[in-house]
Amino acid sequence: MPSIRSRSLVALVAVALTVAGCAAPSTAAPETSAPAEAQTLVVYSGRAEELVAPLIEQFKTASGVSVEVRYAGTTELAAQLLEEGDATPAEVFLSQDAGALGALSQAGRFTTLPESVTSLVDPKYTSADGSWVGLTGRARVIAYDSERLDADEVPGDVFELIEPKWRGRVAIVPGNASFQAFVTALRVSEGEDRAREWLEGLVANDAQIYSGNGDVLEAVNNGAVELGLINHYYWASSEQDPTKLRAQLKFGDPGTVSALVNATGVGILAGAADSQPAQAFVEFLVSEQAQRYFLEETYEYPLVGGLPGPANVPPLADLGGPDIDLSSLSSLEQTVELITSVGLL
Amino acid sequence: MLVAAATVLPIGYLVVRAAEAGWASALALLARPRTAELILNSVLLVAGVGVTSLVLGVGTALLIDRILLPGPRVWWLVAALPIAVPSYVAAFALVALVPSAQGTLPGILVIALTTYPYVTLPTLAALARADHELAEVARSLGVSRARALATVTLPQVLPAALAGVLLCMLYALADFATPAMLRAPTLTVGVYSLFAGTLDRSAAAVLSLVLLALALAVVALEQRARRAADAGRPVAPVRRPPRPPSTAGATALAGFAVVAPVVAAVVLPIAVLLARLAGGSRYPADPAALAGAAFTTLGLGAATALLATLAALPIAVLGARHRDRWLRLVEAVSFLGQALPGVVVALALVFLSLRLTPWAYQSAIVLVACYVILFMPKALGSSRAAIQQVPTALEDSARTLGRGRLRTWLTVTAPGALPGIAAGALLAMTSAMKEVPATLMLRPIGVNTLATELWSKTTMGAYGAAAPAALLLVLIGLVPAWLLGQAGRR
Repeated sequence: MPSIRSRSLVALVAVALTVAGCAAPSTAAPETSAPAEAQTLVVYSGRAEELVAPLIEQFKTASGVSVEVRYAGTTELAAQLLEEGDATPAEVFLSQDAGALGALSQAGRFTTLPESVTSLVDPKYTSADGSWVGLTGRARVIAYDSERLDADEVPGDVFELIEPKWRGRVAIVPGNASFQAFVTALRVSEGEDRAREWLEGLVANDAQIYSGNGDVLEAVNNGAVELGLINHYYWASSEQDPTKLRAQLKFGDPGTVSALVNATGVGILAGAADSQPAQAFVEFLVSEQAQRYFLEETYEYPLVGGLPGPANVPPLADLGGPDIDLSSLSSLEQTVELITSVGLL
Repeated sequence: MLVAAATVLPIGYLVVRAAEAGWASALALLARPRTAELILNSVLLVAGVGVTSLVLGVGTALLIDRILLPGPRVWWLVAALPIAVPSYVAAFALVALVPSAQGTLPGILVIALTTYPYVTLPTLAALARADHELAEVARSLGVSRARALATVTLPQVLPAALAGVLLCMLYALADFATPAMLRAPTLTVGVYSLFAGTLDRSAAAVLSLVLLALALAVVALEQRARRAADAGRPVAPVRRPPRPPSTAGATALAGFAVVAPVVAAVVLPIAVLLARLAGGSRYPADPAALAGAAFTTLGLGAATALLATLAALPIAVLGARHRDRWLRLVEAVSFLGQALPGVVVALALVFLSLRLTPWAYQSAIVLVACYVILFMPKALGSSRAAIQQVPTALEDSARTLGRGRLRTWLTVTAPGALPGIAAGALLAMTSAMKEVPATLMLRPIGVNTLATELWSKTTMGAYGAAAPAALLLVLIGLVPAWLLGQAGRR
């Protein structure tokens, strides 16, 4: 029946041509949006659309700026920004972790933010040189299977995880930025030898390697593994009521490295140094309105103003996060080298 | 030639980036025990997927062709169904059902189950055009049915089957999400986590080159196997003898054997997704956004199908009719796109597009170009096998009757090979519709496909919210699957 075949082919060609037709005009948009007073803004967001799109809507309404957002993984976007160099259409980079911001900062991709913005955030959670500013905090935690373990059985000190008792029962994500930030913190606070000892201990203790924090939470929640090192945020923003999950959280012993808090942040790309909308957007993100949004909608710790902590988790002050500056990237490189050399990457 | 050149560009990019690492650090990276472990895992996964997909694909095709046809045409559709399911969706379903399912073996299972139609469909098409009279002759000479099948019929369809197996193996080599989710760290996972951990494009490029070497080995292996199988190519047009009627029992058994893997690959994941959907989510799906994403997905898929086929045809025509070293090289290079992780090809295109075609950067044009590089092999394998099966005698007689080369091709070869060519186009289409990493990087800003919608939900661990997009992606995948069935029936 050749007629059927040719008809489907015709349909196929028609659709393809329609697409090619539709695609052409939309492509021109980001590049022709250059005129100085046109109130437009291009954002690369490594943070999920579900979480930040409503916030960006609020900014659009308040400022009248038309915002275009490219959503993808934080690391991929950072790599893309490095690859694009000065040709990038992006003006603002919204990042899920400090490491990617540090990498871009070191490559000279960011412009310096005004003091009025950077001084709002505790230096512990923001860049040393003002190239990016921290927006929210995420506590390192141990997710545990509440059907098999009680909270007080779960270690509050990560060094207990390399004891024989926990052999094969701990899940980690060595490729993840927040795990690496944690190892950096370990090196800074406990010394290189102790950090290596911990990593080698994990390998020797048959730690289970996963590729994402979400996967680990899922695995703890369905009983595939008993303990998992993740960020509080994955649990707190779970699509189900987190307090009813099988996976529950143990926060690290206050004052120790186990209680580390990571930061998410934002920076303005060098090419957009003079962009009014970019400045306005960053100022909006550190405003009380945006910080309250992060607190209530994404369950993260606000880093600006006297807001309380998110529901269901202890307040930031009680976590007793160690006094460690995470913004040093040269240090991150050594961390990755260490993780690679023990064979976890 | 141009097409092969397009594939060479990302490879050139890789070499440039890898060279930045310098010999010493590249060697140090390669000498790690971890690298050996990654390579071993990749080899195991690829070999396992190759064998499993060959058995599943050829087995399914034989059962359908021998026992279930002539019967309801729906069997063609059933055979095509599993490619509508992205492997990462099947992997998610498996982990949700059996949390302990981790490692290379489950990885082989999931990838083989979601790719084996790449083998089934071309094999079915080849069986339909195979010279069955030869088998009848063999049988009349007292050869058993099984032996006739193995020695006469199978060799005729082997080139088509092997081209499909090659696609499955290359897919396994380049797949990131499935081995990552099932915790079977392969080279691709290694490339990705090195890259993600360090933003170190050089180290990732070095490992990617190892990946390319593995891909070349797979392609060479397939070329070799196909050359060995080439002998069975028909030289004259064939007419199919009537099939012996099958007993009800045999039909039921065959039906079960064909349907069981389809249930595992399609029905189970859908059931798990529906259960998740019922579980509710605080992140609701937006029907309008999903509808828009579905339209975009179909459109990008169709554009890819068209362009990938146009790009593949010249190589397929030459590859089917001539064999020389130069051509084999062009062909091998064209297949490499499929073995590269999407994120690597995408970064290469960011680099190249900004330098060569800045006006097209972050437009659908570059995105589709990336899809063509990644998925043209799917069109190539299927078209080549189809053209190869058009009897040369037909072309020769047309030529002796005074028809020009081009006209002969258009009037004789093309119509005969059309089902296979269309099948290749549709395979490229389904692949493009499921692609994530390159889409995220190259899509026009603000544009979503179903796969990126799915991605954005699952990165938050919101699997319930991801379910509608995943279900829709599978449903839309049924469109090319259905068309594949149409292309196959004659």
